[in-house]
Amino acid sequence: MANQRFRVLAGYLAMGDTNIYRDSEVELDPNKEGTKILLEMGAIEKVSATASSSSSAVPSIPKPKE
Amino acid sequence: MAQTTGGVSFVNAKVEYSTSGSSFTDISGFANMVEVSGGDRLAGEVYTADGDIGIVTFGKRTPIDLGYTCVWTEGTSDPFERFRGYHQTADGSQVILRFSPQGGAGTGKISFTGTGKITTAPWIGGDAGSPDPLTFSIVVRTANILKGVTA
Repeated sequence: MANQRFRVLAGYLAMGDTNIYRDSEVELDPNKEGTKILLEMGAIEKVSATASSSSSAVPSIPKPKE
Repeated sequence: MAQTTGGVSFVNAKVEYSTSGSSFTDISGFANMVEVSGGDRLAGEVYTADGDIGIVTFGKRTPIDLGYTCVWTEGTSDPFERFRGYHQTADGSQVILRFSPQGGAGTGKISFTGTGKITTAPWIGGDAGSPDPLTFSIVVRTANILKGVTA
């Protein structure tokens, strides 16, 4: 299943070497046990059920007319 | 009430530093001790001629001193040389300290991060009568410590 976007509610989310700070968004697999734990403890909240790395939320830039 | 089984010691803690926040360096193999002080809330008081107790008001939280004590080694990428460089750079480099009592292992485990500059230099001295390995200490002063969780 595609990753979903979550907003960080804790002071930060320590992801390996990186800190993802509060109010930032992060993509996580909603089916992973770790994601469920973070949701249960209120460290993250779901932002969107559809956004993923394969379906960009950034609108495409129209090509200039020739 | 039943006694907690969730007590944690610091023997397997994970101790790290960073200058950017996007790449922490694990120095658990050097770090011997983490000390934290400060962060108290200021409080004021005044007494009037009437009554037996004062009037108390409250202010801001004070800065926090976050200290690491590490084994002193000579390597150019070892903690001493790194912290020395951060301290002696003009104006001082930003340093981010992060430590996790449970070693950072496991989703939801707690860690703490403080961002600031080194205010106590890492210089060492020595005692010829001591058999102990040399250690050095730094203190980073930070406005706040953030509590985070491991993903």
